[in-house]
Amino acid sequence: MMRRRTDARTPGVWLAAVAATCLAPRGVVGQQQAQPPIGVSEAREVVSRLVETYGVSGHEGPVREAVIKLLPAWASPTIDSAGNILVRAGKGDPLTVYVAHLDEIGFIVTAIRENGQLELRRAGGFFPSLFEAEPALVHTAAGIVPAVFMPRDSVGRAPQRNPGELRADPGTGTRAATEALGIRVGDPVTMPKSYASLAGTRATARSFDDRVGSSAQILALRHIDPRRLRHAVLFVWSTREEIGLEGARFAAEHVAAEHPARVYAIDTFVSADAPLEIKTFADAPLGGGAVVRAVDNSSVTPPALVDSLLALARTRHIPLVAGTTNGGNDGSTFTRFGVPDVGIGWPLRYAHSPAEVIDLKDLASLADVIKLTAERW
Amino acid sequence: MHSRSRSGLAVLLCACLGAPAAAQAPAPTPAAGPPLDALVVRLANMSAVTGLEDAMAESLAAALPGAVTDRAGNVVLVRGSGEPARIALCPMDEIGYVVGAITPDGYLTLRRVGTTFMGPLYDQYLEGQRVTVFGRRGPLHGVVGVRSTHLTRGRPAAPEEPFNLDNAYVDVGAASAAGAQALGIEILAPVTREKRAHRYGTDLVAAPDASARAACAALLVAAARLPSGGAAGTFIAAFTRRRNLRWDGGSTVVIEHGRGAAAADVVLLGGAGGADSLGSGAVLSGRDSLPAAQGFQTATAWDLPTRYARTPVETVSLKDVAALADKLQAFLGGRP
Repeated sequence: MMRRRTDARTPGVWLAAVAATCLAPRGVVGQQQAQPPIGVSEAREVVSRLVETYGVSGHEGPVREAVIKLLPAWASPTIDSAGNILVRAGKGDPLTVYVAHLDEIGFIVTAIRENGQLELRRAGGFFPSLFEAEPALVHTAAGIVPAVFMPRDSVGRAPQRNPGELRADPGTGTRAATEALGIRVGDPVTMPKSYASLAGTRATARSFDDRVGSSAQILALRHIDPRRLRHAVLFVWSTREEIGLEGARFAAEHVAAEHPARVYAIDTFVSADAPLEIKTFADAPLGGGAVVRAVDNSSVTPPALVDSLLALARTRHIPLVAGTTNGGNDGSTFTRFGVPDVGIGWPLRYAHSPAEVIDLKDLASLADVIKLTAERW
Repeated sequence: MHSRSRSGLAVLLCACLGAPAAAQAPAPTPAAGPPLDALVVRLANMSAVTGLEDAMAESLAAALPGAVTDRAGNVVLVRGSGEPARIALCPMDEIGYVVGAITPDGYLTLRRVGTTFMGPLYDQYLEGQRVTVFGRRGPLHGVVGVRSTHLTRGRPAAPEEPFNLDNAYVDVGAASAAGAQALGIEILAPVTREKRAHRYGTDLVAAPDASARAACAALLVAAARLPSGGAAGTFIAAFTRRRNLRWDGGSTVVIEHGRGAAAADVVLLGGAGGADSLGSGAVLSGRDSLPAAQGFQTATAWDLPTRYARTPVETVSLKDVAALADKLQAFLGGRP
């Protein structure tokens, strides 16, 4: 159930905001110059690069590099021993923390059979049937090796939807030939992916979860003037979220001593806005803007913070609603240190499938919310 | 219901879409010497739903100078004259879908086209995957929806039966039926999986219908290699329509050119043979038949060894495809 929708982002509202800014006296304390909202085209440019980069949980190297390349010049990223990217800005208390995860679901090679085929273990939760009989890529130390996710050996007399554990076939025929390609136990395996535009501002790709969150943090940082921040902020791009919030857990333990006032988990709002979903909750429409993920399986945001955040967004005419969905979030690893977890996401259809769908307007809205909270909340 | 002629535009616009870039563009001319492997990939990236093969037919005709389109829409190259007539038939069509309806909120529902049984999981392979919708204004990206795994948690387990086409909702990004129609999508628009042939191993190609597409590439190359005269009799290389509707197109070719011919003089291509000899350079030979007028024309089937047949990663070996091209060249040229 959605509630308290703020004003939609419309040209009229934007023009009104610009006009108000032009007419307002300059330099008034507490009255920041209005800046243009983050645009859809910039959002597309950033997120398309991130979703076309691979990074299965525990193997986030390529996407980590991609994120760092997209950061503004003033940012000084550091990498902690869990592989998280950390960017700090501003000074003074209280510290607030933002965290989006780098990793994506996929597979890990667990064994190489005598016939050269690869046994696989899932990294993350998803329907294996969506990968059965699809092209595969094995990410080896020497580079990417193409393969296929094998169809099940037999469908039997009563075919089942679930294929069971999948294997991959690199087309070699022997273990030695497979190993000669550089494939080793522990290598991640994915399905090829690419960004594609749908109608209007909608788009499809695999791993929008959580490359959209990662993009929103990049976009917000690009549009933040760090000199204007009134307190310190820490942006984290975390590792291994899909296999148990591991990177965020490490970050939380190391940041807790700084007594953050809040942590913002910037992650998917898995939406029921799709024809096969039950709409008893999580029905956040695509294109309706960012969503406060107030209740999920891992955390409950204090209602006063939800109300305060919605009110703040309303003052800037940024689309924002509050709702509840399923799943856990990285921010929940901070709550045992007394840090309130404010989940903020965007509606995603078909989560953890090869065909996830977003509306770029929601990404832009999410980035605006992040920027606003960093500067004003 | 209405007739459709979207192929030319589809060819033009498809290249602009990115992913299906090679899917609808004219195939290269074999006579110009394109590598066979490139031709296999190119044909495998194309789409031709049974009965709606215009774009593929145009591309094949353009790639084979001298070929004509017969009254059934087949692309046919006839060389020589007199007896014996040697005929090689390769089906260009595939089991695919058309838009059956557009929901008020802009999703497309699907109706399967073609009668060939493709196994109980064929429709399931669509779930959560990208498709191409061939609208009046050109091809469009779409995806077939799937439940988010997160939202199944804490709820009764999903049915264990394979995904059913009645649950296939194609999302093109439209928010209303009018929005979908504004994109040029109408009921009966063809829909296929998005094609992107995948090479792996040393010489393997995986794609939906890879075996048939590879066989057609071999026939294209073989026909283009042959001189315009010299061999005794007539040879006919035909790229046929509607294999998945009783071999309709192929039957027309046989009735026109080869009724009563010896089985050895009619070769049917496009079948998916067993995988045991994949990559050995073998062509699997068997006996088959196809409807011809009131009876059946017996024929010889030449199948490529095929792994993972009737799946999105149906796999053939380029070595086998090259062997098939050589064998077809010898057959059409009148050599044993």
